[in-house]
Amino acid sequence: MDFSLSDEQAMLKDSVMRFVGDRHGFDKARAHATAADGFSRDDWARFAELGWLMLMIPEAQGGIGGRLEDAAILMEGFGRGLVAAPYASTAVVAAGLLARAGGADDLLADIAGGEALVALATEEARSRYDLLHVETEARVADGGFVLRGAKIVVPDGASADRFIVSARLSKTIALFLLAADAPGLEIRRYRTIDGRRACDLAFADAPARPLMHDAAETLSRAVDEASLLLAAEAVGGMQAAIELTADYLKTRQQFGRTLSKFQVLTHRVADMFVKLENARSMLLRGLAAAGGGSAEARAAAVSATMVTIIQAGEFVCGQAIQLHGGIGMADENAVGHYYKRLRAIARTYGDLDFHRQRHLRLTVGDRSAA
Amino acid sequence: MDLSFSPADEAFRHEMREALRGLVPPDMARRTRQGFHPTKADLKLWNRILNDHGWAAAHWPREHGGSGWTPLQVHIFEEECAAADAPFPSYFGLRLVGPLLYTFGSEAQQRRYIPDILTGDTFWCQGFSEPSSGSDLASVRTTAVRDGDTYVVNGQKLWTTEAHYADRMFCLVRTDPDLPPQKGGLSMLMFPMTTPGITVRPVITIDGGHSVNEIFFENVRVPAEELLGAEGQGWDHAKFLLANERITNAHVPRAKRDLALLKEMAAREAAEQGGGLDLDEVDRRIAQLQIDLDGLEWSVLREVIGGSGNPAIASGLKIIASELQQRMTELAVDIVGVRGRIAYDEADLDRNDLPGNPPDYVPGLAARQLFLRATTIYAGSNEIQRGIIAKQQFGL
Repeated sequence: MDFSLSDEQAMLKDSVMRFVGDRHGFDKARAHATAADGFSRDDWARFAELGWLMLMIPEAQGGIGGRLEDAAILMEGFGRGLVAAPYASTAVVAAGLLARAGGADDLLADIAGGEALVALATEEARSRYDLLHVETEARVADGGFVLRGAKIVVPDGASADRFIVSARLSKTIALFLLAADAPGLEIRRYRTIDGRRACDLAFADAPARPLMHDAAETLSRAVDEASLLLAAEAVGGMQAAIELTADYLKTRQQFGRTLSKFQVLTHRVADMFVKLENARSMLLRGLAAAGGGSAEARAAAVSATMVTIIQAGEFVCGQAIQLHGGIGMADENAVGHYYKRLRAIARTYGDLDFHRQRHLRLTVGDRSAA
Repeated sequence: MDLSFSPADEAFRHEMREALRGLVPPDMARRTRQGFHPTKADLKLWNRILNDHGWAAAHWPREHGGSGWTPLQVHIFEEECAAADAPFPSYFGLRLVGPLLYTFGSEAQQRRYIPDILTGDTFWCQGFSEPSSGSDLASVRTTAVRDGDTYVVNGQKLWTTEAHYADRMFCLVRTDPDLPPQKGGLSMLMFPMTTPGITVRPVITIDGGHSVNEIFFENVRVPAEELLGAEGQGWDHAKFLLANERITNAHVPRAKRDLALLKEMAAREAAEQGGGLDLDEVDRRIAQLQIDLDGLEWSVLREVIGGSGNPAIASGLKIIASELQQRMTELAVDIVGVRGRIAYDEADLDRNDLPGNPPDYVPGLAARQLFLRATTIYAGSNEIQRGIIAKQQFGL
């Protein structure tokens, strides 16, 4: 066990910190949020130049073959800089699924080059984060497959030019790939509270290419990995929110003193720090579980991580607004944007109740294991 | 970055589990599970058993009698000791004065004291807090005035844990009333508890137990050679100890064992109480404790292996661990229901006609819960820790 960064990881961290430090201040993040895609295509091209978009593609398929810890380093930086680019969804989750499915090397090359954006669509109106609750159906038609059903709130879906979709195929869950302009596919694009763009998908016998049959465990793993990446982003966001708050307490004057002279406020910052560091530990624990062990152990650990991240995020970023007072409520202040991003993360691949229950079911509640 | 336990670590865990099997006498294991303050006899015996295997000071550097294990191996070993229901060895020799001695002590002092700390033949206590010096440790008033080749100590200490077990004390004293405590006013003296002029009185805590004491010094004469390091270094010694203590005090191995026992207990109580206990709600509380304990464990691993040495991190660990220990014992008492109100006397434990006719895991729970209110106060109250974090981490 070794928590120190390798040379490559240190370089990765250095370059992402430089990116969010020099090139991606809060003003830029705010401008991107009002642009059409909700993120910067120029940044995306830069990610391709830096090699970040091929980081998680296996070497055999032309990528770098990085580990989830490496992507988490980037995501922590993105969280700090409020970078809205669809990194986790396209460059990690979709790229990972395409690599595992095989036969998609051209598309992987396009992802690596920054030319393709691929989103994973799993959530449905009645699925409530349960990946196994799939009402979208696939059936054979004209020698291929067509999809019928609907998906909602697809992360980074509005700018995607392709979708990976989970659908029921006889009694199993399979993954399909289709383009955004496929016939029979209707897309409704909209904003989420964090300024990003999601979409709803409606399939009316939309032709789709089968990627993977019997994909339940592969999908579960991919979404667990996606959760951990959002956890890493959350850690970066929380840290930034705390630093902004501590700086604000040193400058803001009330009652003839700086706020830093009020112990009730400085102790709150200390509590925020304690929760952040605990969340960081749980991120590492989740990453460890994703690296090996049983599917159940991984799922329980990822849910434990997400419970901690969601609880910490609400406290840390909520209190960042609180300690800023009125100005924390203003859209022109960054802390509210961290809060909104944490709130969005807390309802992307599972909310507090979902992760609590999944963790409980796989650990304490499993009396057969006792 | 390598976040996995290596096969060698797993093999070490297995080896230690096997080696510890049957090593804890069953009655000692039962007393540890029940959660009353460990008896001196148990502490002494377990210290001796550990030392017979060369494990008493597993966490020390090898040249001073330690194991030479990696920090992770030490952590694994302590986890296996806790899983075997071994008591946590007496703190003051092995955790506090031992490291103080091999870090700051003279060679003569090390030769004189360290062997008996390893064997458990000498018990120590720590003279820090005073009636008017609690969280504000720098305000220590007990004086030591130089008189030829001795110091004459006068004053009073309070909350001195295990002073009634101890053979010797290391004691924070004011040697220079004109210098600020942090700038050379304090020193550390070591002396036998049998030195004339020392009076020890028990302080009974809210759990009804006796683990802490008040101590009076009346013209206690201590040879000057019993000074640790140089005169005026006392504040550095105190800071060294407090920083060490905040990590060890996380007591993750013990907490993991306690949580495992809590799960077993919940199942047994559910059977005992029929439908009276809402096991689903208990499960939810246990699951949250489990998640929080996992976080604490990984924070400790990060610190033990990575070693940021950041005082703000150590303070954060102290806050989380102390609150977690309290929540765990609160849940334990909640689970046993109305019997959680009975004041069981440790001395009566072997009787078979205890009030409320309780299962064997019940006595001790309420007392432990009550005593653990102290965790958020001792070793620098949690409010002190928050102040340290605000200052050290953020300059607030």
